[in-house]
Amino acid sequence: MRIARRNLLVSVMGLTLSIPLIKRYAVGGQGIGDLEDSFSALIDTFVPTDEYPGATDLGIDLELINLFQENKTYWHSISESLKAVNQLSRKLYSVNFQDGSLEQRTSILEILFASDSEHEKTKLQLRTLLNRTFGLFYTSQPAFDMLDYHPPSEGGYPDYDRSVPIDTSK
Amino acid sequence: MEYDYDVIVAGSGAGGGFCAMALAEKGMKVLLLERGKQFDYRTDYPMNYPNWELKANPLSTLYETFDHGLAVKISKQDVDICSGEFIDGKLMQTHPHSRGVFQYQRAIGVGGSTLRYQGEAHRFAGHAFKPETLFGWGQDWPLDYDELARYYREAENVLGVAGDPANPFKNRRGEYPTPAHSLSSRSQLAKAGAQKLGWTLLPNTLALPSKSIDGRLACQHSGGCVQGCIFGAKSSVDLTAIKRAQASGNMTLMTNARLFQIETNNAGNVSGFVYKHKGQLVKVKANKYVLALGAIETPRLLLASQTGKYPAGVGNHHDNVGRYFMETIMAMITGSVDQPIHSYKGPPLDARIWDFCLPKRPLKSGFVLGVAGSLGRRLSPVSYAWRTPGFGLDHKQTMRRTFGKDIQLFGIAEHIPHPDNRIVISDKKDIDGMPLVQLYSDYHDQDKKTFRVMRDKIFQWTDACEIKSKRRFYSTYSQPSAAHVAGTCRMGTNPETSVTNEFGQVHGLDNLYISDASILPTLGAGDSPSLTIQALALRIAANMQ
Repeated sequence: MRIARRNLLVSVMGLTLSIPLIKRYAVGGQGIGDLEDSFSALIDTFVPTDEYPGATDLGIDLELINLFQENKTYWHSISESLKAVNQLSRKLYSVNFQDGSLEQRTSILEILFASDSEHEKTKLQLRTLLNRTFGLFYTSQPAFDMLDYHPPSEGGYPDYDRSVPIDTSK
Repeated sequence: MEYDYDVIVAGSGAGGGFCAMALAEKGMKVLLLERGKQFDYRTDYPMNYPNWELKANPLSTLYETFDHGLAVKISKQDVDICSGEFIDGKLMQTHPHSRGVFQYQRAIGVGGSTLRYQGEAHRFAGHAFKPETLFGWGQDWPLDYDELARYYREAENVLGVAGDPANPFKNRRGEYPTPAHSLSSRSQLAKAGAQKLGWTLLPNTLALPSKSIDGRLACQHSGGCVQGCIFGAKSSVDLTAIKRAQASGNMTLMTNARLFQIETNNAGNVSGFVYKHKGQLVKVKANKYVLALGAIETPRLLLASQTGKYPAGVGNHHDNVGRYFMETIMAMITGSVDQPIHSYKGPPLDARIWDFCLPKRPLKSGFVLGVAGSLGRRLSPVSYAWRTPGFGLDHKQTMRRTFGKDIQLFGIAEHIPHPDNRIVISDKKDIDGMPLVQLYSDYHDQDKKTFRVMRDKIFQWTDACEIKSKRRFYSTYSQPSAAHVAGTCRMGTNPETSVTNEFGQVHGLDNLYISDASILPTLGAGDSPSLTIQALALRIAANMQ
C-alpha cells in the first residue's frame, strides 16, 4: 500500500518531491514503527484532504519519517510526542489518534497547541512538525495549483497589472 | 610616485561601483576591492528553484557587525508609535520598554546592497537639499539640486530607469530611459483609495527597466528583487556600472578582499589600504583612495584606523566621524482585501504618493507613502502559511480564501540628523579582528511628530481602500530595521561640522575620498537614496584629477 502511494507520488509530484524507500525500524530497533500510523494521521490533520490533496496524499509523512530517522534523538523525541497525542486521544475518545475522525484529531491538537506547561514539550514538537509540513506542502505543485500561485519563471507575470473590480463610488 | 593604480575604490555598491565606472571610463587605472563574491543570478539566487522559500538566501547572510549594548528606552507615552497586532479590528500595542535590536538590511557581494534593493531610483526633491534654510533643521547640502541634475540623468541612463516624466512632485526631466511600469493590481486598488482622499498615487521611478537594455531582459514583474533578480533584469550595480567599468579595460576587480585598515604617512595623507584576502593582509598603494563601504562600515573603518597622525581615527579631527546617523522611519499596515489582487506579482514597490514630501505645518520634515508587494518573503506560500494562524481544514481554507489578497501600505519619513545619533567602535571584535560597532539611534521630538502624522495618513488610506482585514502595524520605532542608512561622514563646507567637502574629499587629507551614503547630510524626505549616491559618485569621479 505504501509502495503504491510512493509510486503515485512520483507521477503526481514530478520534481517537487522524491521519496526514497523508507528504512522502517531503522533506528536501533526502536523506530516509531507502530507509531507510524499515528505520525501519518498527525500530518494528515495538519493539512487534511478536502477537494484538494492533503499532506499525506503528497507523501509528506513519508518524507518526514525518512528525514527524521537519521537523527535518533529527534526520532525519540517525536515518539514521545506521539505517545502523548495518543494518550490524550484515548482519554477523550477512547481510540488511538489515527483511528479518530478528522474532527476528533483536530480537537486533540487544538487542546495541545493551547495547553499550558503540562504539554509544553509536546506543543513545541508539534509546532516544529507543523512548520515543516507547511514548508513541504506549500512548495509543492498541487499546493501552488490550489492557491493559483505561480513561481517566477521566464516571461514573468505579464498579468501583474490586470484590472481588479474596484468600487470608487463610495 | 608610480603606482599600479591611480585610484583604489573599496566597496562595489551604489557609490563604489559608479565611482569606479566613471574613473575607469575617463582613463584612470582603478582597483576595486569587494569584501564579498561575485554572484551569478542564474544559479545563486533562491528563486531559481520552485522550493525557493526553503532555501537560504545568500544575500541575507548575517555578518557580525554590532555590539548591541545600547538599548534606547521607549517611554509609555510613545507606545502609540510602536508595532502592534490588530485583534478584532482593534490595534493592540504593548510597551516594549526599549527599541529592538537594529536589523541592518544589506548584501555583501559585487554590487553591494543593490543586489537586494527593490530598484527605487529617486531624485531627491529640490527642497531636500536646503532643510536648514527652508525648515530650520539639519544642515544644508554644500550643493543644490541643479548641480546634481546632470549626474542624476547620467545615472538614470546607466540604469535604464523606468519612470513617468509627468510627475508633478519632481523636477522635470523629460522622458526617462524606459517608460513607467503600469500599476500592479494591488496598486490600482490603492490608487482608488488615494483618489477618494484627493491624493495622487503615481508609478514609482524604478531601476527596473521596462524595456530590454544592454542585452538584459526587461523587468519580468516577478516581485523577487529582494531575493536577487533571477532574470538579471534589475539594474543592480554588478550588471550595470561594474560591467561598464570592466569593459573599459581600466578596472581590476578583487573579490573576497575586505578592507581592513587605512595607513597614513607623516604628511597626514593616506599611504596605503590594507585588505584581508584568504586570511592574509595585503597592502596596496595608489595616488588616490575612495571609501565606499556604506554609512556603517565606512565610519567603522575610519574610527578603527587609529594612526599616529590620527589617534581618534582617520578624518576624525573634529569628532564628526560616526555622528548624524540617519535610519529609516517607516510605518506599515498589512491587511487583506476581498479582491484577487495577486499581491506577490509586479515590481515590489511600484507606486508612490509624494503629496506629503514637501513638509507642511506643523511638520518640518516630509514623508512619502507607498504600496508594497513582496517585502522579503512575506507574501509567498510558505511564509504566508506560517503566518496564518491555526492548522487543518480551517487553515487550508483560509489559505485559499486569502492568499494573494494581502496588501501593505506604508510610509517612509526622514530621520532628522542629530549629533547624538551615532556610531562608535567597541572593544569587541569580529572574526577578522575588526572592532564591532555600537550604534545609538533614537527618534527625537520632530521625528515622532512626523511619525504620528504619517501613521494617521496610512490609517486613513487603509480605510479608503476598504482594507477590512487589518492584521499588523509595523513600526521601525520599536522594531528598527533599515536598508537606507545614511550620515556618519556628512559632507559640508565647514570642516568643524562635517567630514568631507562637496566632492567627497575628506577634510584635511589630499587623497582620501568617500563615495557612499555616509556623506549625505540629510535623507531626502523619504525618497530612496541609491540614485543620489550614484549621482554623487559620478560627480566625485568627474572632479577627481
